[in-house]
Amino acid sequence: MALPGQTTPDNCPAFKLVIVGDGGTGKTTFVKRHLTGEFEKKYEPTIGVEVHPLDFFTNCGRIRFYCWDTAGQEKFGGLRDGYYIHGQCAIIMFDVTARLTYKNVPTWHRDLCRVCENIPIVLCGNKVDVKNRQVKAKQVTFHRKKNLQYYEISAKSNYNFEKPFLYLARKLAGDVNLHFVESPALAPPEVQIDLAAQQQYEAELAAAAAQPLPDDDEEAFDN
Amino acid sequence: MGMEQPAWQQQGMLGSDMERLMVTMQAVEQACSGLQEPNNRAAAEATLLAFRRSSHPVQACQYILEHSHLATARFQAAATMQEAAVREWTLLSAEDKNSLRTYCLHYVMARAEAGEPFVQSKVLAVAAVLLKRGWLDSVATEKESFFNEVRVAVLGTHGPAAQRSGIALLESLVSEFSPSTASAMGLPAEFHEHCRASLELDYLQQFYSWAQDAAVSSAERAFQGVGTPLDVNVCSAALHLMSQILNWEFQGTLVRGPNGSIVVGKNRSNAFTSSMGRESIKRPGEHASVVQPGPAWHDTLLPPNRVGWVLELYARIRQGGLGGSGWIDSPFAVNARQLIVQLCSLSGSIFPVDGNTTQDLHLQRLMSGISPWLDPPEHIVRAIKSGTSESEFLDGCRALVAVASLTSPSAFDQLLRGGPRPVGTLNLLASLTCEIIKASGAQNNEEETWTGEALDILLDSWTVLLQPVDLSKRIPFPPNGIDAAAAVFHAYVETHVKAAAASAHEEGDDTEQLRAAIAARDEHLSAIALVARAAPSATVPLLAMLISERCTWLPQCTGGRVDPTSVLEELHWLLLMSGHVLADSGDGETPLVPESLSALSPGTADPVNHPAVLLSQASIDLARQSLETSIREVFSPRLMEAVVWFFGRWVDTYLMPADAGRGPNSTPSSNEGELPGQIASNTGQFDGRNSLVVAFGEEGGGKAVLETLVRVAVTALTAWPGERTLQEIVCFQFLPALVRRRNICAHLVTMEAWQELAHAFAYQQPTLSALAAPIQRALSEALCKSAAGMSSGDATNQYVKDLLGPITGSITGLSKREDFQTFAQQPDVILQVSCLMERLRGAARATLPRSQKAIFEVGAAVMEPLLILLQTYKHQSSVVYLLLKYVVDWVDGQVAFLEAKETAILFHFCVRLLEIYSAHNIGKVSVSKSMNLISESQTEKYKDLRVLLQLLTNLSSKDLIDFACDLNGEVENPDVAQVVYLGLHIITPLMSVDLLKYPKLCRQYFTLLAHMLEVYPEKVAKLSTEGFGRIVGTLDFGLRHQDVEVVNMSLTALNAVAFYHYHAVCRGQEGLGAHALSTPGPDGAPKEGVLAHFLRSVMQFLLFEDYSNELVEPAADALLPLILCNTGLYQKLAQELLEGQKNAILQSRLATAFHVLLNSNNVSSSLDRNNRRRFRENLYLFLSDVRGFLRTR
Repeated sequence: MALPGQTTPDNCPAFKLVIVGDGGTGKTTFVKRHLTGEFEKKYEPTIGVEVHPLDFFTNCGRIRFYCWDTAGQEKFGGLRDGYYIHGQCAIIMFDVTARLTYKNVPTWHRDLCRVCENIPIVLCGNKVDVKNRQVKAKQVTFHRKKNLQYYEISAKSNYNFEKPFLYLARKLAGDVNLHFVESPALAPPEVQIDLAAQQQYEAELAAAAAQPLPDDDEEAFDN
Repeated sequence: MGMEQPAWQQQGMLGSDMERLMVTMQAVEQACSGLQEPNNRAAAEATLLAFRRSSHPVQACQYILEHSHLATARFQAAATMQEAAVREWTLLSAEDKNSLRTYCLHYVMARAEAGEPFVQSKVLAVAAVLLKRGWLDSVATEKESFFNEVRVAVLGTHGPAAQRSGIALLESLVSEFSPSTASAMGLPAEFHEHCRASLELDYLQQFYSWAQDAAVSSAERAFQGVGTPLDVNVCSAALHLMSQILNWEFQGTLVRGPNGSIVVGKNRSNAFTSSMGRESIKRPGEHASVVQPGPAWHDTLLPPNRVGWVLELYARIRQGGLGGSGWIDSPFAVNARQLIVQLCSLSGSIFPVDGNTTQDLHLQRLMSGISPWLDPPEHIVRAIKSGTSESEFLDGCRALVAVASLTSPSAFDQLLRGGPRPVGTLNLLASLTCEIIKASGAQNNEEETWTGEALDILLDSWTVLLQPVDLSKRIPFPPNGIDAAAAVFHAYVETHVKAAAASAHEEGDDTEQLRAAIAARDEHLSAIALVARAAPSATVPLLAMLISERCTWLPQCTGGRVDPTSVLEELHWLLLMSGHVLADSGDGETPLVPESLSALSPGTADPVNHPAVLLSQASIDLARQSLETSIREVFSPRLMEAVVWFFGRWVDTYLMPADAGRGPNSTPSSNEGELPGQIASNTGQFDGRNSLVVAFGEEGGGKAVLETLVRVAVTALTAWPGERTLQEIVCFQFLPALVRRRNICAHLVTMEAWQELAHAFAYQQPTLSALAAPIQRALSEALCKSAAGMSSGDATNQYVKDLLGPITGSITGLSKREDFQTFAQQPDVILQVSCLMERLRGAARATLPRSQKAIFEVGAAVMEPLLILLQTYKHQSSVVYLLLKYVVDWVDGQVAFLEAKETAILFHFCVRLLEIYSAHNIGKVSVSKSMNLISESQTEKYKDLRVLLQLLTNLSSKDLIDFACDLNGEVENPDVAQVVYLGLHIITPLMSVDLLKYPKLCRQYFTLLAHMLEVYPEKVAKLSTEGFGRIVGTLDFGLRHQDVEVVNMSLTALNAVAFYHYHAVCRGQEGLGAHALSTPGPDGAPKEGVLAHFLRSVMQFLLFEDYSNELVEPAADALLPLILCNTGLYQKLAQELLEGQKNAILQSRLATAFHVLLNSNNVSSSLDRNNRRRFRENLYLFLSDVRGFLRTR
């Protein structure tokens, strides 16, 4: 759906994608990751809604999602379900390190379904890179009752980053064989930056002085 | 405001009113369009929000609903109507309320055929909210007439369109009354609870029956072709409603009191956690969501003809293909299947106590209906692969796991025996699993998710059967089940060995390295390992054979004669699988041998033939090959990773078990019942346990195996330079497992191979010094830990000193160089220094009571050099960071052990360290000019600050540990005070709200703050107004934080401050002094003292906010001293609350509660432990009593 005020390239189907979920679950970080490749460490709550076009390249050509990144925190919520109208697909995000965010998934789902009948919805458990999970994969059962697709993702390490988009693209196109032809322009995951930097560090002593050291939390085996 | 008849329909309505409504509508419409335009969005949002908040907008809303051509405007009008009606509810007359509900219902019914769906559902949602809002006040007749209208619609009297709307209204109602999806409406939690209970008790079953009747009649019309196309939709919606009702969180414990009121079981947790969104999280293993509606539902849900009807309906959808070619995914079919799966999940008291007869019959009925979705498996899987939708199959798998979790293995197996195609359900499960394994192995398209999902569900079924949550269901598998498990494992191994071989020449295993991916893989392998353990005599020898076979091939691959890659990949996979089958992951515990393995008898008199021994031995033989230089050349680093991973896991369970001879008792998979000491060694008969002890125990073959493993570890560490992952697994998993137990350490320190490694490490042999710095740290840690194996404390200390002596020497030597300032900046020197820091840090992390002395001495010896380094590397943030990290760990290890003299040395050092750090870092942040630089330096500050916070926390914990010391005269160690002051001096100016947005930093900061305030409140009291104000500001921030831990710490800090002040004042001292007094604010109005301010905040928090139960205790501890410090204000606040409560009954309840809070249970004005405990109990009661009606939502 091309939106007024935003030009969609020719021959590029566009869809309105609504992203909902509790505050602090990483919706904005997830969207920004695609836009800029950067991982935002800081937490700034979204106010109302922010809309970003996200492009993906498939074997059938380019596809664009207009992502409506909505506020999760109630006090910054703005129009809430007023933003969902004409949504064609949706992502519900929760944080696997915060149980309450999973408990609120039914409400987000109900509100979405009321406004958007029978649209494909993906449930995403974010922050699976974090060591102390509160919601284990096996405890996530909501989607089974509701015919949703569930993915564990990590915006920080890019884990399963494009899976939700691929699923939605396939459902929207009605083509189970649709696939992405070019990896979306992601920054290498943070973990790898550090490993790569570290190898370089060993190989080229000369560069040593300029290399940042990995943050503790990103060392796979640190504790 | 007359709501009986909308104003604009009244005769003689003023033109200006009409105009006003028009103008409002246009403004809303314009805003709705503006919402789509990025440039106008903000303004449009503001307009719509203002409309929502406007006073008495209902009339305008109705006007828009009826006149606007813009659906989005009608939607916003409905949303506004909901918000306004709830807000202005008490201003509406009873008639207004009633007519508003009816308005919504009629609005939808009148447009049932043509209305925009999202507007229709929004208006129905409004109706549901309004109905609930007035639920407890409205008289029975009102409800009755409303529901009568709904029932008539649902049963189809007004045609299918109205029927669909009626069903949709019921769906909205159920969702509105369900705690997990209830809307906020500014009412007490108790209200929501009552509504929920009332609906469950009085209406839910009726709704279900109406829906069922609607489904039956509409299905009949649809199949006979006499109705309209809408009939299918109606039937589908009815089925959806039925499954939604079964999704209800049934309380089951509701009873009606003598006077007809509903008694809600009081449950402590309900009073504190929000009753909203209580979708309970299932325990792992509880895969299917159980449906427990209770005995009252027996006649509604269980009659064979009712269950039969749904199954029949679905069978007809299947045959007739109602819904076109895509029928399988049509809402009709999806909803019908959903309902069937839920009927499979029925459990609990709905079934009579008849030895499961009713339940078994019910499940048999369902299973025979479902089996065509699953059986024959090969046929169905083939169809899906050639394009049929997988959803029916997946639902079938879901039904299977639901049934499996409710039955015992043998009852499960019987379910299909009486059917048209008699087969053991376990056999069906096995052939399904095998087919899916084959299907998922055959396709290389990773993005195909259905096989993965199906396999997950099927493995869940195995898991619930093999490891039921309810242990009484844990009875042995029938023999055909054991064979079935063996067949599944065979298929799995075959497919994956093949896939591993095929992947030999694929590029890129980078995603495999991610933590989440490894965790997912391990979880999967653990599930399949459980299946393997069900048939150990078949599965374990298979793995042993496959490994041994490939092991003999390796020598033939040397010299480049044959490409070994495929074999290596196969071995890699086999080792991962074997590790999971043989042992559980310890997570710090020592897992015992899985019960089914230890119970297995070797079959012959020779313990070597025990399957677990065979498999372990095969893996050891493989590892030993890596020691042969000639064969090592064919070993890939990836295979080596699997080897060291395998032994990292295996060692904990099998090598020299400390409790050899004792029975299993604690592994998750082990069985209770067997008594310890039942080992049959004296009978000459070998069972599994003593076979393993003979093979790998301390007295048996254990020592030889340990020697081999040490050599393997050293080889893995050194023979593949640059293979970071391999080295990481060696140093972070394998070596720590070897040094975890002291009895193994005792052997290690005497072993030549280990001594060589220690020597090479101490003398900084190039191979080891070339390892990445963190790996050197881990190596250092493992080596220092092994010192625990020395026979005496002195020997332990000497061992550590020998290990670290040369390193200390290097650091001292470097720092004493005349040209160090310039020399230090050479890249290789920076690298060397970094590695030395990491080695020290590793050693510090290995501090044991027995080696503490040596590690202190090492630390003391490098103190001066470290200060020089800190000075020299002031511009090398990475070195500074490592240095600080070392000091943190060193202090952490030492602080509990030190005597006064040593403490003084340590604190003195820390003060100097902090002084140097602050001299170079304070005030630097603002220097940067570009945005990028600012964020860069912020990130750096962020990391340094975190380390500093850790250091200060560790240091300030010293006094907590030593609370009994310093009895004679010397009240405090002056250095402690100095450190704390200096720390606060450094931290507080840097601590901005912006920095607190980093979640981890935030937590650490509050941990420290709580510590500081607990231990040194008098120091904090002496801070300047500005410094103290900063701390107060962050505490305000902390109390409102989303993170429970942060709130907890903030409350602890408040407790400490108030506690200190109260005590001081009681003794006639000034306590917080000026900080506690109210001061004139900038505008002349008095600014409250800090304790008064926080009394308000904590009261507000406890009474009105949503928080986790665990916070009540720390909040009570903070509240009591705050009240004692401000009794006047407390009385005033209580009075205000009482006056605000208009309802006389509630007012008197509240008054009593306030009285009880401070008077019952002998609570006094002391702050001793007993009194605080009593106050906590009072507060619990107080909150559970009043929060229900005070708190609104």
